[in-house]
Amino acid sequence: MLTRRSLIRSTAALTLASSLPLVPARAQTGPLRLEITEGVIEPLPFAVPRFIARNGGAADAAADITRVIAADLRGTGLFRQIPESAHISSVTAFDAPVQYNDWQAINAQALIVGEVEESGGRLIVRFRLFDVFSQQPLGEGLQFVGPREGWRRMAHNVADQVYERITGEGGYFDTRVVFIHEEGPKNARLKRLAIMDYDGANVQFLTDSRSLVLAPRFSPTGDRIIYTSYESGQPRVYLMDVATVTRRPLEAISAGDMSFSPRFTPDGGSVVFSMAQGGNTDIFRVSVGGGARTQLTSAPSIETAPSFSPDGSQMVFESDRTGGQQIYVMPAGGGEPQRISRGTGRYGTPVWSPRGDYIAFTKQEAGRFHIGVMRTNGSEERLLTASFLDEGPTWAPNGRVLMFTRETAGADGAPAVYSVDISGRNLQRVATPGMASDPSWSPRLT
Amino acid sequence: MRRSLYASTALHAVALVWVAFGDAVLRDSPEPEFEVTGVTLLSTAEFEALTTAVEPTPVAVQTSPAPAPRPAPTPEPDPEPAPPPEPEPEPAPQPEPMPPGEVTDTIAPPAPLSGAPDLPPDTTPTPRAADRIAPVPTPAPEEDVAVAPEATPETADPQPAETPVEQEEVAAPEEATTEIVTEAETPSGGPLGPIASIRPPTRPARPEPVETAAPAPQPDPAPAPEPEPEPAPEPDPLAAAIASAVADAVTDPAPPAQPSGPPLTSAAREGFRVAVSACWNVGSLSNEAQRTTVVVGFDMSREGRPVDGTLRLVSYEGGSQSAAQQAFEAARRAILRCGANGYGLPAESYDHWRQVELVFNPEGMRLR
Repeated sequence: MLTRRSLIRSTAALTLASSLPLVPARAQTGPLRLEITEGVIEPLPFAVPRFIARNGGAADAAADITRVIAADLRGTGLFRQIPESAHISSVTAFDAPVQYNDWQAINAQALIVGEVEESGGRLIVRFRLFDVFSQQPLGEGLQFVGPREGWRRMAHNVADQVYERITGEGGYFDTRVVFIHEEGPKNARLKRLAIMDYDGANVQFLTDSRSLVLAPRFSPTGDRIIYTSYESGQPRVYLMDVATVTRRPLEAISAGDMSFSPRFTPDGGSVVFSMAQGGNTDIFRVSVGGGARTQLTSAPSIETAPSFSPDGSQMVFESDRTGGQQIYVMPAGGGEPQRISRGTGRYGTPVWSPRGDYIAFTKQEAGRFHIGVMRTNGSEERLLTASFLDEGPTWAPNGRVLMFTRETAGADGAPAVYSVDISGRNLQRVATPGMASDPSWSPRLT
Repeated sequence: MRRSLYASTALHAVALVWVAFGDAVLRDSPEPEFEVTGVTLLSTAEFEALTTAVEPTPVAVQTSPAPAPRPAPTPEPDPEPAPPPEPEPEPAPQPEPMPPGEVTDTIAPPAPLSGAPDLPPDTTPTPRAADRIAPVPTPAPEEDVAVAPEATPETADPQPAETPVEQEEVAAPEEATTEIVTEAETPSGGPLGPIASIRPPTRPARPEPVETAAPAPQPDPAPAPEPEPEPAPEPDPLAAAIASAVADAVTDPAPPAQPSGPPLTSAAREGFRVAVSACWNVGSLSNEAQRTTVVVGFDMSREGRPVDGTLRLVSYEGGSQSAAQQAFEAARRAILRCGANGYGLPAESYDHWRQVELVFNPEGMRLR
């Protein structure tokens, strides 16, 4: 009887529990929790009203600085400028409260407000960055002081700050690029060492065109350049001081030997380079101050294009020891190289990222050239470009952007410098006064 | 007859000549020239604004002035020779980089708009309460009125009292002054208006879960008259079971944080998720931030909008704190931007989405 009763009781309870509306569901007891895994990748809209000129002498500089800041940010491909004609609010005072609603209405997500003042021949540039939808400043306001002729660098500094605060990565606008300026027909090219701002402004020449020059590289501090020159009649590595434009051979080499493809070590105290001796090419290391060179590779094949990891513990280079041109990594002090390039085709000119996470390279396959990146163990290879001839990547100091040389086909083919994001987006030509090749990106100047 | 005709004609001619030329000939002085003066039409509001005291506006509030520029120790730039245009050999110019601008100081943020929270202390001097000056001289009072800080009303029609009451002199506060004392000459008094907007009250705390009170013991009914003894019926097991189950169900206390209303449907949850996704832009994030998963918590208004100031980083994983901050800011922009007009969630389920935690996982978005 008891069993039957309890059975009936249980059945009734279950029936009630499932049918009674008195008992609310207990499915959710905490906050509503959802996972977002899909987003969008698009340039972030920003507005930069013309900087306010505090006095008459700063009017032109204010306009120029605003223009350069906007160009820097637009050029990254990560930001989209909202034209001034679309602005609802006008910024009339640097300290005026921000009309966030007006900027939200035009979908500006970041707002840059600034002013320029001239005082005693020097410029004072102040700026603030605002997150429009959060209605709060992003970081503190900053001011830069410098001579009037340094207005471009101050503008680049402002843009660097904005870039850094939004992306979380260091900017690369206050940088310079050393490259080979080329003139003349393809069969009689004149080449000169030149230097410019990263955006192509302030081009200056470091050498004349009497001697062929190749492959310049900045030192880690940006004050010296090392390059290959035929000044003595044979390829030889030279060291140049950027400030004084004085140069000297890195070291004495024997007649018939050739030194080329130099690159500084991360501490700037030494240089690694390739030397061809007796028909064989190996990689050597020598102190910038002189002294005996150290041979790092020893193989009957061609080893060249060395590049160090940022911590200086490893070196990547290209070698044809297995027949085709491939990329190898070895300990900086010497040791057994490990091949990391495993795809089809030929790999060359490897360059270690300043962040240490990737190695950029040139790849030749099926009659086309590519600029690509891979992890330092050779995984996650990703080709970023494809053309008749792409080669010689160089990293921006933040490790997110690459510059390289692209040459067009045909008798009238000409080299030019291009840049691309390591995601493969934002491929664009860098403004140069003429034909240009072999770029090398400097570190941040400030 | 003809004579009168001639006389009339002559008189008319003289009248016409007088009308035509008499004013010019006989006027003894030219008319005074008018002086044209521009006037401005003022509305009532504008007139009142002009006649009232100028009050400090919130825009003028400045937390602290920007620091004065100090001379930068940057060396003077070396002269930069112009680059030769010809490719012929020539000496290389000085490639000295442009003199750098140096970061000198940080600048205090601007004052937020009036009404925003966290207003900085108002440093604007408060205007002194100005004395009023009568536009026209006040006629002399009929009798001297003593000046007293407190007004003493005039006693109405003093009636002879049984006990003689000492008559108080009529007194009134000073209404006018004979000179204007600027605020620079006197210490300022209290502020005319609020120094800062009143901070909106914080969100009321959620009510503590109330323990369901146990049903009060029912008073025992009055003893009914003893029924006639009759054979007790056999208790129906089904009815007893139902009664017991109902009693259990009714007395089962509700959980403390139990949301009311129907739960969100899958479609509503998916719509919410997709709406936020549409604004989540990871393109401008660093590589490290693109490897960082952040959990953002916030409150929602009944209109389905995120409540300002409640967005917070609950947790993160996969990156550094700096990267998490960048990822959080991108997530915050997404939530606020796409939620500006509300997420269109069902109001009857408000308790289910009053508080939200969104997990932004960019794993599938990296370097795509």
